[in-house]
Amino acid sequence: MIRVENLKKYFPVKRTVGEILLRVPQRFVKAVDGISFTISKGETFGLVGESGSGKTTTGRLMLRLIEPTAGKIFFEDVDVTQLSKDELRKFRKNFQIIFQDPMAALNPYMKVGEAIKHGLEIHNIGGSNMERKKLVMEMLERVNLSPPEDFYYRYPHEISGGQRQRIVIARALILKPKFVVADEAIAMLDVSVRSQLLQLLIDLKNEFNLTFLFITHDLATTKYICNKIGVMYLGKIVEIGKFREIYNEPLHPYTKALISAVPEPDPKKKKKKLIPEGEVPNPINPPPGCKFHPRCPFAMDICKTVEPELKEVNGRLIACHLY
Amino acid sequence: MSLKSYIITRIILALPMILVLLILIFFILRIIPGDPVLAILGGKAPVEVIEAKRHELGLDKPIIIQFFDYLGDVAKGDLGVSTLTNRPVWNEIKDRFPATLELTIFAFIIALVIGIFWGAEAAWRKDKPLDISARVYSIFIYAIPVFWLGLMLQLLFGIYLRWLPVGGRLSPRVSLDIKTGLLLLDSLITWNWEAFWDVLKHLLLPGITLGLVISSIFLRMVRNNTVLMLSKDFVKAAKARGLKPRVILYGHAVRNAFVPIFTIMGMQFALLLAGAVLTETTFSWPGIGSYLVLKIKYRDFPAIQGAIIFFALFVVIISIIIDIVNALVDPRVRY
Ligand SMILES: Nc1ncnc2c1ncn2[C@@H]1O[C@H](COP(=O)(O)OP(=O)(O)OP(=O)(O)O)[C@@H](O)[C@H]1O
Ligand SMILES: [Mg+2]
Repeated sequence: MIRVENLKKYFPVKRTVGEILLRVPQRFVKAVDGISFTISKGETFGLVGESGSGKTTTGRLMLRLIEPTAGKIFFEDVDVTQLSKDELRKFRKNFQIIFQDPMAALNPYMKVGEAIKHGLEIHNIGGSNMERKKLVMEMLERVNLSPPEDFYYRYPHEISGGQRQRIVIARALILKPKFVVADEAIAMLDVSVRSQLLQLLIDLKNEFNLTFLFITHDLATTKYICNKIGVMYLGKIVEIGKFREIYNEPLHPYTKALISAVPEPDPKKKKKKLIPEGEVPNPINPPPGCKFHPRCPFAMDICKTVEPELKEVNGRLIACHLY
Repeated sequence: MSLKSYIITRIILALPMILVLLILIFFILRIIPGDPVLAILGGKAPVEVIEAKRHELGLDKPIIIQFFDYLGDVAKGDLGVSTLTNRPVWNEIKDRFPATLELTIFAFIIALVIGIFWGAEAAWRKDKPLDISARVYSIFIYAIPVFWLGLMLQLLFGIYLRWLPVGGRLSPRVSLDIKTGLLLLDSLITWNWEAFWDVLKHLLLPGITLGLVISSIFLRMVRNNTVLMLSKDFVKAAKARGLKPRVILYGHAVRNAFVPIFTIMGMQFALLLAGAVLTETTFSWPGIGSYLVLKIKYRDFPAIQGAIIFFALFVVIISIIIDIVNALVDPRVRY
């Protein structure tokens, strides 16, 4: 249903006046550097990777909240990158986003009910104001904020963090989108409400038959919701496949390291931890060849010069010279 | 705490501040060189006349006695009598205040329009020419002295092009019924178009001078805060919902950017008054600012003290009003 082809986003690095005068060439942060994948209808695609690997940027690109440097995004055969500004605005009700920080995601001056209703007004859904209000009330009830009248007229600062995130979810889903990007949607919440919200997302996904892009740096949460995962490292996807397969038998050294870092609930099953050595390299000056090679315990000579392409191995896609 | 008790607290807290200001100004005036009696009578008056005048003004009493006499009068709402004109200081201030008010409001509107629109559009086009020019403008305007800017505008539009008058509020040949003292308003409510144009022409140069100066600070604040707001997720959420760019910019980003600006506007207002003093002198604008300068020249102690207290009260009242408005529009602010 959603297909991303060779998507790129390069952010220009700000130069100082001195650098401009000295004609230092413009440098770029290659936040997303040519990624391709598909998400089928009803699937939940987990995008995992360390901080700075370009997950958020990918999510925003797919909703065209930021303009791609290159690449195509097909949404049910519509190339989203080709839509004009006006077409895009109307098209937006098909895809929505749930943010990480619910406080920042809500306008402090809008009553939360009004914020949810706003999308209906923009897209002229529901006819009368009364009708829209009713839809909002139903949606509030659906995200377990009841009685809804109690919440509709409150401001974001007057409710708890977990409740705020429910509002953000309600605001995204009221437009009946087909595709939803959840960018670390539960990462900032109190541990006590995380599992409730994760369960809510799973329920809503089934009920609304949603297709999800679930962004997280915490592989453990993908276990409960994702069918498929993509592992990102420095703007590149290094491994894509069915969640079960990757989780049970990671192939790419980076994926292995990530999975070994997931805490194991059963203490008898001691795993050898493979924390990658060193820091994530600077995305402005990524290492040549495979970007992971400076931290990779299996690095070979070829890794230092030739960048590996994604290729099919055992029914999944891997970018590594080992295979 | 309710809004009402908040306001009462603010007023009570303002009183010691005004008292300190009063003490400072009272004693500084009497310590610095310059004698009001000599300033009025001139250096060549006979000693007896000077002594008589000194006694008449009460300046022969010990300073401490003078101070408590004055404090008692002020507490009763009596600001004393001008040593220069023999008129009650309060009446003189009352007569001149509308001129200052009209000028400041006009300048404030100019500053707001420039600040909000240029600031918002600059934030929207961050690092593009419109933004860079906004930054250069605000640094440039902030750096040049008010009176120099005023003089340049006078030179260009008043002397060289002869489009606008360089001083005063109303041409002598134009007649106008004065009701509120705000001449623009007076001419409007009496349908006196000739006077309206004349008043507007007089207001334009000083208003623009002061307005530009204030706009530089405004512009910077609006621009920076809007840039910050535009990076927030709720703005992205509005975009994701399919809201039009203009509505996102003004309805969401600028509206939120304005809150911190609004809260420090009280302080800006004090700054505005300081600018008004210089602008009024440059343009012979008959307001409190030029009044103060004139009275300082003649060492008119009661008038200087009165004008300063008046300014202080004015700033306090404005900042309280701003706080009230802020509490009304911002759901997060509760006192
Ligand atoms: N607007 C921007 N301008 C310049 N650089 C940016 C911008 N947004 C992101 N970047 C850079 O792009 C890279 C990828 O950032 P991104 O936010 O997509 O990472 P992430 O995987 O979501 O990380 P995290 O787990 O910390 O959220 C980072 O190096 C970041 O500094
Ligand atoms: Mg992120």
